[in-house]
Amino acid sequence: MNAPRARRLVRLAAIARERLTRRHPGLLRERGTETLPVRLDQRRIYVLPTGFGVGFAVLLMVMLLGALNYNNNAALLLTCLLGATAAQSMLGAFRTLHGLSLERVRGGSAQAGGQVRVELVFAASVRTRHGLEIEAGPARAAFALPADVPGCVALELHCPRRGWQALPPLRLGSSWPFGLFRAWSWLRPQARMLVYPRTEAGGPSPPQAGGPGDTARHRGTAGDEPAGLRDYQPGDPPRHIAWKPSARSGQLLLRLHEPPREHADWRLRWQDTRGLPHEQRIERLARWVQQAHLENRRWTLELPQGVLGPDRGSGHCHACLAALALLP
Amino acid sequence: MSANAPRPASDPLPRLRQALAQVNAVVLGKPHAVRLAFACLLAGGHLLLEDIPGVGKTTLAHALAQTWGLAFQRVQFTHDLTPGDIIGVGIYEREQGGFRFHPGPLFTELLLADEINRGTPKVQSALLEAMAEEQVSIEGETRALPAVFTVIATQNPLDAAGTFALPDSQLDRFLMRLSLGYPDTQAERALLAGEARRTLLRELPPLLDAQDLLDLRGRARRLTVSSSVLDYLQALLTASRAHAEIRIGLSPRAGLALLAAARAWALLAGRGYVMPEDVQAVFAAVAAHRLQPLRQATRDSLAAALLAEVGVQA
Amino acid sequence: MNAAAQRPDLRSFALLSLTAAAVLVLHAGHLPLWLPPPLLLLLAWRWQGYRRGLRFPAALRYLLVLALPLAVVASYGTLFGRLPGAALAVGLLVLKLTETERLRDARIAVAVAAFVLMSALLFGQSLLMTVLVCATLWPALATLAALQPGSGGTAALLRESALRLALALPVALLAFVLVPRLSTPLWGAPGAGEARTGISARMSPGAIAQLLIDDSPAFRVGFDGAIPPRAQRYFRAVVLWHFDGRSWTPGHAALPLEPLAARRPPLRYTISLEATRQTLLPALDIPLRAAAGTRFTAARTLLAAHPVDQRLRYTLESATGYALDPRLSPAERALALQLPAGADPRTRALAARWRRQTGGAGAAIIAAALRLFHDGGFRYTLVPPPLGHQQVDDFLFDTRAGFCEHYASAFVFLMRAAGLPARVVAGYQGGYANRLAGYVLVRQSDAHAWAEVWLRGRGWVRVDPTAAVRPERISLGATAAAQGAGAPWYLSGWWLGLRDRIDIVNRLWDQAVVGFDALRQRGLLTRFGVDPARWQSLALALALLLGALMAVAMALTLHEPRARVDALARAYAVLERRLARHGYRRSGSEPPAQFLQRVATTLPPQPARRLYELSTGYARLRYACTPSAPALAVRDWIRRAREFRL
Repeated sequence: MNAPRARRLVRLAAIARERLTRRHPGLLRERGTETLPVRLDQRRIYVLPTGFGVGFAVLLMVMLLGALNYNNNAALLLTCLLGATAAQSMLGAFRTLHGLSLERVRGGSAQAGGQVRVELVFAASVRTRHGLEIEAGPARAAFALPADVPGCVALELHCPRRGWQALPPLRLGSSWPFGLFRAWSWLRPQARMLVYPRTEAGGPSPPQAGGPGDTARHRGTAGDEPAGLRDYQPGDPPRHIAWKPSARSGQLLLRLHEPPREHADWRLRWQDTRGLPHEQRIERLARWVQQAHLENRRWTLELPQGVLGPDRGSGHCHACLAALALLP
Repeated sequence: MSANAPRPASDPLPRLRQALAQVNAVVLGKPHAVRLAFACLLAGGHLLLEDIPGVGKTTLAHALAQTWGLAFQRVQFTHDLTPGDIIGVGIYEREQGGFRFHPGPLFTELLLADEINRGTPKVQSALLEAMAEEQVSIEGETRALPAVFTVIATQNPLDAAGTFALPDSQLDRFLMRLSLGYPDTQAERALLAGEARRTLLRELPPLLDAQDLLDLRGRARRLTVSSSVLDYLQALLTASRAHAEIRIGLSPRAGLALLAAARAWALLAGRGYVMPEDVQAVFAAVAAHRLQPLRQATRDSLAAALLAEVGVQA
Repeated sequence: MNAAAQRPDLRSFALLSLTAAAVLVLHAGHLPLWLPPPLLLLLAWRWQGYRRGLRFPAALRYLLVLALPLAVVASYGTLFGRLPGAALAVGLLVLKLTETERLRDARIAVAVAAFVLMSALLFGQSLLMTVLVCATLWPALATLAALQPGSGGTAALLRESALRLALALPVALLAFVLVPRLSTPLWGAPGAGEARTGISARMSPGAIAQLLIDDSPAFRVGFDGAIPPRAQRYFRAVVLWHFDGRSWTPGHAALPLEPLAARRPPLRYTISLEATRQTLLPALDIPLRAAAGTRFTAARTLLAAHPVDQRLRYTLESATGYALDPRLSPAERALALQLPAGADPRTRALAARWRRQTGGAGAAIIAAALRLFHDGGFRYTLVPPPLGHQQVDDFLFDTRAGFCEHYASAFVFLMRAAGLPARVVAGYQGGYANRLAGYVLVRQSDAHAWAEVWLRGRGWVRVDPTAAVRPERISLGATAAAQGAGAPWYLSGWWLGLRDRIDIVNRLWDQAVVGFDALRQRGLLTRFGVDPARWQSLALALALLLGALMAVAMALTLHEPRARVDALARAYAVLERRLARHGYRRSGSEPPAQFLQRVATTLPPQPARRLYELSTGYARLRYACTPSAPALAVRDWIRRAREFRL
């Protein structure tokens, strides 16, 4: 075979494959992503007998031959009934998938190296669907969708790397009701999840002492030392009554306190992690961010790409982790 | 109208409408927020007012307490406030020769917790626990709070220095979160031209009382909720859980809160049944602070987006 | 972990055990007594163990697997055959459950159960048995469904399986009608060990009654010429000479072949006999010559050299008008007058009286006997009351109810007692003439018994006393005769009536299903233009019809109702569309009532008012009424919505 002819054959094969996947979007695993919602129709649902189904067919043939051979019509009727039920269960498997509509895919937050919980939300349908199975790579889940309410199934996917992670192709299948036939369809919803960077297991705290970002308002007086006394007024917290001075003065006196020491704001800077490998720098910053959030501090994250904050709270924490995840 | 005008003991519904008008006359230009505050009271929930200072948060709380004829206490949250300060303490009394419990401001019908985010997490959680349990345990003794015990908490979202923001998990102890916002020009002019709010508040006659409130709450609970309204409500909950921008959707407790608020709203409209309109009216106030956005979207915009996305079946 | 390797949940194991128990019970009727109780105990023990998550001790299982065949051999002497096979299969099914620890095992166990279930039908095809066996498919299929991951609650499973079975029933019936039947078995012979009986060489009370309810074909006769009328279709199988007071037997005397003189041109025909495991070969009236491989008895009935194990075809020429054995030898006469000593004195007395009255004239005695049967209050029934020791006396003077066997026996007794040589002939009578195919199908239920009386100058003459009681028996067949027989059922008590009804149902079942063989299939299908002789055309018809059914089912599947819409919602949608034509559109999230109000605010007062009323009316109907709005109010709203015009 000469080279141009081989090239033409390859091209023809590619065209055929492209046509096939366009006409039958659920048949093959590989293909571009689809926009949500994805509705399963007859064009993309495939049905084949399972191994057990093939075995069952052999059993039915044996039963048929036996009934015919012994001219036993009752047995023949039984065989026909069992056979018709088995054959019709093919429609059962098909019907379980048909009309199913994947509305949304929601990824939870995850850390690299961990598991992310991905929830697939299906539109409400008029009938209950039993025996559904979904697979994404090694992750699989079996579920049923009750009628008239939107349904949800969760998969635990492994996230090896930080950053955007695309959803692997999903195989939605069902062998309902008897496990004799398997209907399936490949889904490739356009969905991606943000995987936060791994956090360092341990390491130094952010370099703050004496730094320009340290805004601690610590004045060196202990919080429980009274800074002064004033007369008690109704409604004042009784706990703050200074009993000893009160006893001395004969009237109730109230202790005045200094405001307690506030947690200092943190400045978490990319430069401060100099000397570490790239990924470890990100992991350290991620740990600092989480530590700051846990201590209910305000913090600023300074990255080469820009500065986030100063702010506090879970929203800020997620924004910072997202920025770290998306670093090159 | 004078403070000791005879109060009719009959059906509280007309007086409820009167009360609404009376509070609207004090808190100018915020009829929707006032109505939501009423709904919150009728649904038996606590209210979180989140706004900058000076837009009338305190005025609203005062006006509500006055008009509803509820015993009122105000606690200014500060960093040195302790749980005992709001719950109360046992004080040794020489004459009796033992400790006597001095109930704190918590033991009231309507409690205004001003600038709640200035209190330490310890105080906050003591308050929120009392709100959830409707009782407090002090030194092993359980004391019930009044039957209509309601908290109106305020916080300033912008003033972050030296504050302890309420954690997300605690936020849903509040049935509703409202912001009043600046009054519009017309209302502001009326405000400037009219009497001082403080004077007005002093003169507000109580139109209802705690018993009325309990009656009305019972009545709201008995309103008819058809399956199509439940369908819609469930669709909203599911959509919140499925939304791409929302990290954590609405909990079942949020669903119950939504239903209670919608019932109260329908009662305020004088209807005997709940409509999807009622659910929509209270949705932002009830749901927004319970949504946890995935990215930088604001909670209010998420609530609005959910409302726009979820269809109402005919 | 592979999904098929998981342990089935308790629910599916419970369903599986239930299935196995049902199979065991259905087989219990023909299993040896020692087998079902230990198997049930084993099943119960296993269920208890499974519930606690225990495995069945492997050593014990191996022991049982070894012991089972040994026990079967000890009981039957062999492992092969229908009964030992069934015992073994049921035992293995229960043992399979003891090793079921994975989904795969459970599925295989269900398949095994289905097979063992079918084998129960080899022992009886009654309607009840078939219904019970088919009903056992229900838990079996529910087990399979329960083994699926993501299956619903048990109620849902049972509902699903029942629904699937119900939906499959029409397809199953169609397939049953169309599956090509085998004309000859592919292997083995049916019913090894147990004779597929036909007429036997011994007529004891009730022997023929058993045949009369057996609708399976006995043989088919193809005639070279026209089919003789039904009343002339007497197929002789065996001639019975000897009566011992209870049973008629051929007797043992060696007699010469009776000479035959044909008076009419003989009929030529071919009989295709089903396997009988006997040597008796039925033949129409009196064959002229024995066919190849067969031999005559003295009374010119045919015997095969070997028991008929397979369908046998033989061609004969028979005389229907004849003189048989015109000169009776003394030995024959002695045999033809034999009566058990001292039996039935009243009958003997009656016969003696006739003889005195007629002076021994044969025709007159026969006429007297037939008159007695016809006018003496006799009735024809397939369920006769029991007879005592003096069988003939009891029958003639007390019960006066019976069928051909009783009449033939009593008649021959009377003749002999009156001094006329007579004998009983057993065989078949009538049969179903398939005019289309040009042959006669004779079923076991066409079995009959009649008499032959020797008259001087005419030889052996056939007399059918049953015809005197119930002429339809000869013109219509036993079933028809029995149904019209005797007193009305309510006089015989409700039990008899119920029994008759059950009998009718069973007969219908036997005819429609059990007896639906290649022949009936041909009779049914030729009417629809399918030629069942060629199995290809049958298969084609089967495939086409099943394909059509599949297409219908597929179309029904693809037709997916979008949502449940009630009348109010439909009417609202119509109104909404009408408003949309005028530019008023509702976004999906706008509540329906609010939308109408919004539109109303833009309208002139009159339609605005009406639309506002529609809005509040809709809200009341939709939201204020639980669980549903009053139909009258809904109709009223729909009418007003329809009348609304902008």
